Amino acid sequence: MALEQYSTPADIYLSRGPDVATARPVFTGDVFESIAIPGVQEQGMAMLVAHPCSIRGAGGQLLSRIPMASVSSYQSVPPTKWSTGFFDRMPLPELIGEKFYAANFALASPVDGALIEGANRITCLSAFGVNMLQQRMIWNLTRFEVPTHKLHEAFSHTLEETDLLEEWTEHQIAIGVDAKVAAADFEEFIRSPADTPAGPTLQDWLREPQRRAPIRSRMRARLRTASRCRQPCSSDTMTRPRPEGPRCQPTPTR
Amino acid sequence: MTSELWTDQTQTSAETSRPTDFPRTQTTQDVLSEAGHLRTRVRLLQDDADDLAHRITSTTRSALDFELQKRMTAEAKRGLQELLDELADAGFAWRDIARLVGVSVPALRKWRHGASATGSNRRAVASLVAFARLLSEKHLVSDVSSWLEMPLHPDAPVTGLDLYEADRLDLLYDRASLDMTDEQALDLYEPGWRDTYRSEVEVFVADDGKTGLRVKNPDE
Repeated sequence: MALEQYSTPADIYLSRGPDVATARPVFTGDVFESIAIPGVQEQGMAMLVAHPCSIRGAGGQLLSRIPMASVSSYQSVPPTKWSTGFFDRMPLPELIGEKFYAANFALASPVDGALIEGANRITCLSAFGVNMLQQRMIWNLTRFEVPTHKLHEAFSHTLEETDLLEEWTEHQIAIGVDAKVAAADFEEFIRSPADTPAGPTLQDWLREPQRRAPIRSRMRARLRTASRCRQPCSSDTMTRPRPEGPRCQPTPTR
Repeated sequence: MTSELWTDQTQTSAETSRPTDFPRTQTTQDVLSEAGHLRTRVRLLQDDADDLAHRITSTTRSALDFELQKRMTAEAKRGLQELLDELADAGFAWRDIARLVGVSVPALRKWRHGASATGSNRRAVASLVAFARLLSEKHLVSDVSSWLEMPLHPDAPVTGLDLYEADRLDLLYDRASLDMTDEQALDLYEPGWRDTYRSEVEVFVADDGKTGLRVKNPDE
């Protein structure tokens, strides 16, 4: 066996340091500073290691107990070595400057989502980075090897929704819409029928790669309309619960 | 037996016929020799066909490059924001645009917010727009971004985006013009893909409606 490896550090990251988008919803693989992990550390860096479908509850709020793993500096191990060893860790090369770090799966424990929400996020993983993290965690826990392309096939729709929500929120905040209102409006948008009133929603369509581009086009058209009107995308001004990210919704029966 | 009648100058009534040459009975060696000659001819014809196919591919690629270069030059005159907006309206994901252009997602975000790009990066964006328009106008690919995102085969994660990133525009072009099947393109792009992506794991929808992974049932 051989777990998949990165070629360059950039393969693992979507963004680091000041490039991390504040509008991006919290997601698997995100690394935060100054996190207290009960039974592990009082302060320190930590990586969110929960599955994308296990981060949020009702209303899109972060759950009260979200697994996080301690992140600390580590010996600089070449990429090839990670394929056949160090299975209890996730490599984070050049996480800060040129220093090598790693997340330790053995030093993991649930953390209150409210603490995560207020913490400083210093990195978001790329799609490959998230898949690599999940592959390593599965192997570490069960000694079962899952190809990263299968993980991507199964869960890329959650990453896709995160990207859409980030773009939506960023756009809406820029025109003066409150972040909570923007998130609620996105929830309404992504749960709206894709085609027929009783048919699948846009969120359901996100599971199919060939349907994602039309969803992006539709979203951007709606955002352009909002820009022209300089108001939230939804005409409903009632206060709604604040969803803060994608939730894995059941596929409706057809 | 046939024969030619000859007129005897002595004008007798006798007619004689000149016997024709009887073909020599072919020996086994003759047959083997002929087979050898035919094999050589077939091999030469195959070599000629391969060479012709290679020249066609090369010529087609040259024509494609020329067409793209011409279109890219035209697109490069447009503003960067305008080019990015066109790609966005077409449904391209920002992370895919970043990947195909060869920059990071944060760098692309900065462009979207007004930062300038280097000349080579601007040309890369213009090239992507040019290629998308070429596919749409010449080969009637109505939704280019969706078409590029689709896996070429259910058993492999390779998409048109991967081909574009690897500068295999020729394979994309041939697929779009129906001169090549998706599987043929995949064979050329990654010859060992069947082994590389063979897996005992499959994606399924669990009873709670969420996707999951499981080992394939060998009986199915």
